[in-house]
Amino acid sequence: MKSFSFIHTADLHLDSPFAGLRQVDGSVASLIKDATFRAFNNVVDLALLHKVDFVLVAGDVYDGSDRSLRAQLKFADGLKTLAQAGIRSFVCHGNHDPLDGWSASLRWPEGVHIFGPDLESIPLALGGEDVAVVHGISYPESQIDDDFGKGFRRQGSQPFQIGLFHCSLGRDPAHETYAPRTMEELVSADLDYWALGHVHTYRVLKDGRPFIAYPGNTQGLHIREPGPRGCLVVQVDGQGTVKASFEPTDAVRWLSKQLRINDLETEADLIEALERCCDEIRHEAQGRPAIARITIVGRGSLHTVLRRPQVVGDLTERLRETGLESAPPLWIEGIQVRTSTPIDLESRRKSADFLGEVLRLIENSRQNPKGLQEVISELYDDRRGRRFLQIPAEEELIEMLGEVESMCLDELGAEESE
Amino acid sequence: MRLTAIHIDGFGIFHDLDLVRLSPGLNVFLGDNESGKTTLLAFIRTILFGFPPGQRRENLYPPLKGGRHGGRLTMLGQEGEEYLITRHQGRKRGPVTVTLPNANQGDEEVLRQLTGAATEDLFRSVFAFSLSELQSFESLNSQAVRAAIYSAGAGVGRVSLAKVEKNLQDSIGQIFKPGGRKPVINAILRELQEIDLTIGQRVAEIDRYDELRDELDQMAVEIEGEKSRLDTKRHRLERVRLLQKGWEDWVALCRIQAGITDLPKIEVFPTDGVNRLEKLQERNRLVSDHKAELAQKIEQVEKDLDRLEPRPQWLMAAEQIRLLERRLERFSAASQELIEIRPRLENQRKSLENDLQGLGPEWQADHLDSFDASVSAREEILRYLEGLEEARDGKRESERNFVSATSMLKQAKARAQEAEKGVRQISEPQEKDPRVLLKRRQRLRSLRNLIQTGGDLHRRSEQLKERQEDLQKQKDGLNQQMEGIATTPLWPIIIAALLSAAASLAAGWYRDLFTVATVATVGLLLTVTLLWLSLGQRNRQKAQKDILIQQFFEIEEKLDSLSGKEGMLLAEISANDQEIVRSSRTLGFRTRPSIEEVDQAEAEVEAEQETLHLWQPVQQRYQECREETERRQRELTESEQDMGERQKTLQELERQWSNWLNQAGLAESLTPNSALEVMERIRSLRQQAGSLRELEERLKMLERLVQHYQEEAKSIAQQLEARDILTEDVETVVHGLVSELEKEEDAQRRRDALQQQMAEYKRELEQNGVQLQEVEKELEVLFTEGGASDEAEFRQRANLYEQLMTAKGAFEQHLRNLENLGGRGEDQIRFQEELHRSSPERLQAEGDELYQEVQELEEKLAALQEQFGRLNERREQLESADELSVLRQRRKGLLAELSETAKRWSAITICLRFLQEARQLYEKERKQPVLRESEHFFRTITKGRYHGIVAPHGEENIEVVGANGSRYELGILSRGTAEQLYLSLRFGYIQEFGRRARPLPVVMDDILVNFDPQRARASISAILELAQRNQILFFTCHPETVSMIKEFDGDVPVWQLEGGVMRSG
Repeated sequence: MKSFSFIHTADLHLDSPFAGLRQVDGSVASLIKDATFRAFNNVVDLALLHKVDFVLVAGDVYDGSDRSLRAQLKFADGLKTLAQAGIRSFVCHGNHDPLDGWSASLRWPEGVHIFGPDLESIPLALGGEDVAVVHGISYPESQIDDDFGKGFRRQGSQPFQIGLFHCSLGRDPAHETYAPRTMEELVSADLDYWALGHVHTYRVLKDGRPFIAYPGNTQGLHIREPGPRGCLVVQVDGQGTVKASFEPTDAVRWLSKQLRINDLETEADLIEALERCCDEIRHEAQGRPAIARITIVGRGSLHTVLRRPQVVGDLTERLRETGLESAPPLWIEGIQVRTSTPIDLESRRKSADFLGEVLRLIENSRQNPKGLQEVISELYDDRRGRRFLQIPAEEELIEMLGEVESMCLDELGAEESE
Repeated sequence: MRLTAIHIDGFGIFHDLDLVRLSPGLNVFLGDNESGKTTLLAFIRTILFGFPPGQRRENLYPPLKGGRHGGRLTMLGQEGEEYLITRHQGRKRGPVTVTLPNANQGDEEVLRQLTGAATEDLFRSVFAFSLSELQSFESLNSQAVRAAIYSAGAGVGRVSLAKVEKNLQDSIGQIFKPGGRKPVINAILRELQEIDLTIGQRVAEIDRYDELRDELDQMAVEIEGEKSRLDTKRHRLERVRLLQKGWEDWVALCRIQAGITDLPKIEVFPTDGVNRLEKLQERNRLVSDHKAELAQKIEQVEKDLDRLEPRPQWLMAAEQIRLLERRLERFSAASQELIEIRPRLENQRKSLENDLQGLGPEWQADHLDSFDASVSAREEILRYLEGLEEARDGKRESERNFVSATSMLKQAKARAQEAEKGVRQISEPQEKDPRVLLKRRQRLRSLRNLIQTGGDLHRRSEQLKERQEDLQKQKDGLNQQMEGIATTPLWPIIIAALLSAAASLAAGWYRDLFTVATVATVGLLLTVTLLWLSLGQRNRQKAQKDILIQQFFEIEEKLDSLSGKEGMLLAEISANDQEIVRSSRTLGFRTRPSIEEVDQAEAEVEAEQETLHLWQPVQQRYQECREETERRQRELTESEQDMGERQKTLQELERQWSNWLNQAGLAESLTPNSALEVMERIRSLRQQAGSLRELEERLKMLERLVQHYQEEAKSIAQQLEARDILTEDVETVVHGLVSELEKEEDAQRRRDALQQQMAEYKRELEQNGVQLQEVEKELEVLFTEGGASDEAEFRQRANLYEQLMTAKGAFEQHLRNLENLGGRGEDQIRFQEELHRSSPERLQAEGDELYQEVQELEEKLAALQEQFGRLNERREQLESADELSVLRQRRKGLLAELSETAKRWSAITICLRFLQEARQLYEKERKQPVLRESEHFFRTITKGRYHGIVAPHGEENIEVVGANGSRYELGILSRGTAEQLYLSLRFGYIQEFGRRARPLPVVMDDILVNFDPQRARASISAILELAQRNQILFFTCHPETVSMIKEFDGDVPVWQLEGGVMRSG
């Protein structure tokens, strides 16, 4: 068999907005606006660089509900660039961009195959030799049965057979479940490569035959998608052995860092530590712009300082200023303070004073959170509020009680016990 | 906390006021109105809580009598530790300094810790109050006061719970307010709504995208059609315009074509023929002129050459003349030197002769060279010099030695005679060897020892004998003792046994069995006793004997040892005796001498030793003198001999020196030193003679050189037959020669130059001939090319040819014009055909019609394109628009912010709720003890008229309970009773606060004025009770109140205030 190579990518989510960014500076805003497109362009560039034979796109190219014409056109442009370089493309649609969703009537260039709602098998000849077949199916609509796409089977005489599919493997609490498949099901289809999409984190589920992998999304979209994002460059040799390497494509990297305050004494120490943290982030961003969240944890004297109003805001502002001056820029999404008070809460709770009373009330509420929703219903039941807000679940409220506890300690001027 | 001293720097009417030793309990201050009571209260409050802030319109009590605005409080803590609180007016509420017991300084923060949770409000309404505050229940029952009291010591620390609640409430309001516009969340929600609306609109536009594209496609087809029609019309219009433009050219073209046919045919003619002809003719003329010029020049040169006659012999002698010229300078110098050198030579010669005379009459210059003045000769002279000096020194030395030896001998002889006299004065000893005497004396001493040792040995022998006898006696004694100890016999026992047996038998005889038994028993006992005693005796005796035997043997051993010793002693004695005999004989004793004799003999030897000791040195001295005399005699003889030898040596040397001088040809009288001087002089003269010789040689050389040069110069002049310059002065001759030679050389150079030029001219003439031939050939060729035989014909043909060419040029021009309009080849043929078929009028009509049509079509197309452009722009906008992206990103951002802010709002809201709940619980819990305390005071003050105070549940107000159990609301109480109730409540609060936080001093300003005397007294009792825990400063202007207090407690200190001055009452 002739050896060949291809790119396996998925979850481009072109033109999807970044979540969780409360405010961004102008220069960062433009970076963010184009990030998903630039990530996709990076995929195209990789295909050209490695001179691959074809590109597989395993669904969720864009979010249909966003009706982003820009997303569809840029996608078509990318595929056109590939086609001009003689690289074929195979695209299947997923739950975010189902076939019944809105899409502009685009003219796809020669060499692009968009899979329909029924399972199709497209043979692939390279240099006159039949080397592979791509089996694929697109979501006809966003809601599909669990049985959807259950017909993947080895067919035809092509030595290398690929399944292109947007689905869940088992039931993953981190992702909504679509067309759940078990490992056994995938293996029993007797294919050589499963090009999956849907899970946003790069994961090789099986290295061997078949090779099963999620390449993850090409660009992280929020702080819960930190670190490198990219696609897989796959080499198949004459024996059909797969060698896949992950190549980062993210134009902007999300990163999350923790900073412990246990060993820090002064605000100057803290600033120094934060700056060190930023240096690490820049290093991890590997020369691309980054958006980072720094979570300050631990127990120490700085807890009190950090709880002071404006301190975190000022620190964030300071880091953002220096971050924007650096090249490539670094945007601090936020500094989260998850430090614990050096005060011994357990013993304070037992004391007979007013603070003890308050802490006991909070502790009771923690055990029995009923009624907390009632306290805050004024906002969440508001005519406009309820359109955009969902009242926090009891678990969230219990988590919030930690913050409430700290607030009470701060307001009542509690000091570290001897 | 309590006050012990107050110092006011300046405050209202007070200046430099000191209040010391305040009582820990009640302190009464009596003063008239305006005596400064309220000012003092304000002072305490100001020092503790600061000056009123700028914006509050309050009496600042400026220091009316001078001093710095402010002062100091001295306070004692629970443990009696002292704090100094100093505050003066300044920035903000006036900076405060707290001096701590450890002398450290603290600020406002430390002061807040000292005053516990007390706020200024609390202090004003509960701790430091006047009648007006007492009368208002509100000031007492305000939430702030309650919160402060209940939160005091409740772990709330320095903050006021009410303030905390208010802050939280404010924060909540700033974040969200139902129906509000400004709070953060309200603003976010509004913006979100707006964004959603905009997004909706933009999405609706995108839905039209496909429609728009179809429309654009149709329009593109239509535009293409119109464009094609327009192109056709434009094309035809262009053609018509071209035909119109070409019409005149076409007409001209036709005309020229007809004209050319009439002219004779000249196919070829040399290009630019006439011009070329003229140029050739001009060239011909130039070359001929040049030829004539050259001939003239050659003639002139030949003439010049003839004028220059050469003199070759001068040129041949050129080298000799140049050599002479070069040597002329040397010649002049030599002539000059000759003139100088001659007198010098004469002088030197005379001087040398004089010097030679100085050496000796027969000394000549040639003698100088034969004289040996070498280094070795000089060395020899030096050797003579040294040898003679040495010999003379030696002779003088030996003469001195001889005189000295004579004198020494004389002295030695005198000393010898003296010593001889000394010897004769002392008698000569018998024995002259002291060693012999010493040995004899030693022998005498050892003989004496031997005699003494003999005596000792005899004594020891006698002692030994005594000891032997003694031991013999002991031995005999022991023998006797041993014989004395006889063994005790057994027979008495046997007798006793027999007797007892006999007695028993005797008793048995008397049939007295008892007696028998008794006698037998007694007898048996007796026998046994005797047996036992005698056995013991025997044993003791045996032991005694053994000891004696032991002693006996010991004595025997000793005796043996003594007899051994005796033998040894006897042998010693005999040896000693023998030694004495031998020694005595040696010493010359005829018999064995006694010790005294030996001592006598030793004394004699000692006397001899003494004599010898005196005689010996004198004898020795005499001997030495004699030896010296002999030595001196020998020395005199030796020096006499030496003197003679040295005289001889000197004479020999002097003879050798005379010989040497003779040989050297020098006077014999010369000393070596003078000889050395002569030698130096000869050397110098030798140099002088040398330099004279050199000078003579130089003179000869110069004379030769001058002569030779003169001869040579003259010879050359004669050779060249230059008679006019041949004079006696050689220099003139040489200069003349050189001048002539230079003239000749110059003539030669000019000749050479002329010859070269001549050659040049001849070469040019040759080239000129060639050029002339070429020109003529070219002319011939030109005529042939022009088809003419001569110039006239050539010119005529040239004219005709030019006419023909002009016509052809015009034809070409018109054709080119037509080609520009209608193309070449086939296109041109068609173009001309079209012209042929057409007419200007027809073309004009067609053109106008087409122009109209094109205009119309263009307008239509522009309209279509504009429409297309608009739609396309819209499409492009839709395709490239990132507004939606931006809006969606903004929406996400807002949602994130909303979520975060809502969480913050929730947390604060929940926090506030917990604080409120806790406060309610806390108040409820604390209220009862406060009311109980207050009840107690109220009962005391009202003398039991009222029993209790109750706070109905859920109400802020309180009610009082009468003695009969009926409840009264506050409104119906008399002013006095209400004031008493409020006073009681304050006392209750003060007690409660004191339990939770540090008790503070209480200041009351004339509060009893509305109380009847009975209740006033009761109140004083309550105040005194309170004063047991809290320090109280009680201000009054009523002396009777003071009297009343004094009735309760005469020790209560009273201070009198008067116009800002304090005195202790």
